[in-house]
Amino acid sequence: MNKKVENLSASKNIENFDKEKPIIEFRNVNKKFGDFTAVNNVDLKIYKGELFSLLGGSGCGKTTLLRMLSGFENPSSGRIILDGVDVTDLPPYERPVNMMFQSYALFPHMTVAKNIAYGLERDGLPKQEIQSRVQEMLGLVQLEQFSDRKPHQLSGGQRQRVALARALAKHPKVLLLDEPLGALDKKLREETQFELMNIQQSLGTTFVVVTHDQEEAMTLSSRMAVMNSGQIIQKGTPREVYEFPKNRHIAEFVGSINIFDATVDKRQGDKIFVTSPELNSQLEFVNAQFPAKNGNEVSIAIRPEKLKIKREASNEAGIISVPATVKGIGYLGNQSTFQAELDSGKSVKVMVQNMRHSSDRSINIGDAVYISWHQQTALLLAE
Amino acid sequence: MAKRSSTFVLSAMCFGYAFLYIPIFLLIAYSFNDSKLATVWGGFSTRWYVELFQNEQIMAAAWLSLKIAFLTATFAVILGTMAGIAIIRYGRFKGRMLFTGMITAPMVMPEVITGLSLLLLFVSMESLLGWPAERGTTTIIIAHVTFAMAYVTVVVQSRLASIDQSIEEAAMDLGCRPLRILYDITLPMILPAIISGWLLAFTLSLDDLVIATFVTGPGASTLPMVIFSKIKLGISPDINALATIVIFLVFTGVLASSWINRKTSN
Repeated sequence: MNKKVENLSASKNIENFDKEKPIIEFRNVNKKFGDFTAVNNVDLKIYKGELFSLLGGSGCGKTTLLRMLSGFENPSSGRIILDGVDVTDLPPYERPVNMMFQSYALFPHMTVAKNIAYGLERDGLPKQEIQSRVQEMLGLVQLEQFSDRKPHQLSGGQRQRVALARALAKHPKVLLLDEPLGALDKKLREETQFELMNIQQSLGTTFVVVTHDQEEAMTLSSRMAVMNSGQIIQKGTPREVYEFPKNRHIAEFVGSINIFDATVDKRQGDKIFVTSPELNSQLEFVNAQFPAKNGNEVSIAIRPEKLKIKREASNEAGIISVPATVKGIGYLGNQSTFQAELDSGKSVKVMVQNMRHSSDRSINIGDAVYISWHQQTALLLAE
Repeated sequence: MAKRSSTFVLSAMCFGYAFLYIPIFLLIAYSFNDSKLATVWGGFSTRWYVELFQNEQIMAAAWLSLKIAFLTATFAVILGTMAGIAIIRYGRFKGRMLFTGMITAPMVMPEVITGLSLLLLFVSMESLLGWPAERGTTTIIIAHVTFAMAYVTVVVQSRLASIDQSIEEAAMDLGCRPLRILYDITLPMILPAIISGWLLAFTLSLDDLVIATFVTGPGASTLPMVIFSKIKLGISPDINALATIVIFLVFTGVLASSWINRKTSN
């Protein structure tokens, strides 16, 4: 199965980005604050036109990485290359990148138009060009009629768009976005996500987004990097990261997943045989590169939507069925989640799309059922 | 129950205001007293105001006090703003705690000690450097700036601490150099604090008697010093008139500063 991952990522990379030079390159970048290592040996290439997300929990170093790119922090060691130029020692006001701040950081004493014009004025552009550029930006974010307002006279969503327009006005080579949708409510966030993607696609500017919200990262990005304690644990397209998480931490962080403890029995060529007492069964995986020896502890991971819940065991080839008891049903409208308990006492989450009317539901709490899945949808993860 | 507690609150409030303001109203009323005796009502008159404006000693002292207060407030605002920005925006530089403590020390220092130590300083400077050649207006201004800037620093510092630092970072990100950020972004945002710091320093300087008495020379008598020396010979009604004018000025000053604050915070 890991072979598949490589094929998938390789094809995607060559198709879209590898032919061009990377626009951003982190080379062995470290950042220490006293004894604390915020960023640990990061090597990362981001390609032109990408919408790249840095995903991770708080304190994982994603914001520090972004601030090093904008120039507000200097790396303790390593180099940062921007479009072929080493910018590691340049101050923020000399870097061809702009940032959209989490708090938007609009200038409270200036109008919307003045806010957007500020960076252009610092560059000493002629007045007429500034005017037309401001108009262009106001049009881009659909705020033409608000140009004379002060920031405190705008709603949260409008402020967010002013911040975006201001950061884009100088036509930066890279736009950095620090939790761009963090301050918006859920409904607005979903709308704005697509707006942001449209703007990115129409301008072709490289966007680097920092977020702690895995759904946001999955929706927005062409590629993403998942960070933990200062390191990049996995990078790839959202699909790669979701379908083939590298380890248990990422599997649990990105989406929800069922994890079962298991032990490696034996390896035979490409095949790995593992036993899970929690699943009360032996499973077979095909993965030549998997770094586990006989007797090693491993994890089996299955996404809740890959599981099926039925009254009868399936005897199709490649399908594995395990008996369970339904303990709880959560009705979410478009889908239902079942909480089931295996004979081993292990609890399992199953997600089912509600295709039919809910009154047709044939499975109730307390029913004896079979949880089944296709062999290929289960993942083998090293501890 | 609610009714009873509200009458209690109302009467407590009336009593409190009466306690604070009856002396002041009494003073204003007596400034229009025709009688030469300060405590006997002899009918309405404005003659003490006329007399006040003809009293050259008081007018000169008032003019000197205003001049000192104006210069004190201006210098204190410049130094205090710089100190406030250094404390809040320049990270954890070496000796920051000490600096912060030393800046605010004059606020809690007894005035007598501040005055005495400054007097010692001026005297030894005079014998060592020959400057200041004589004590007077200059030494009073220096002494007043010393303690007034502590108040300005505190006001500016607290305003600056409440401002999101990423606003200044945004300016830098958009290509603005650090010094320009100070003029374009930082100063406009802390302007209300600078104005109220100026007014505070102005009032403190106008009000000060103790420190000025220590550091002044023969030529310079500020208004509080003149009033205080006149009181020793008995209360003359023209002082009431002067006090009324001062109260009026302070009242308009307070109104103006709160109006500015309300306007800028919106």
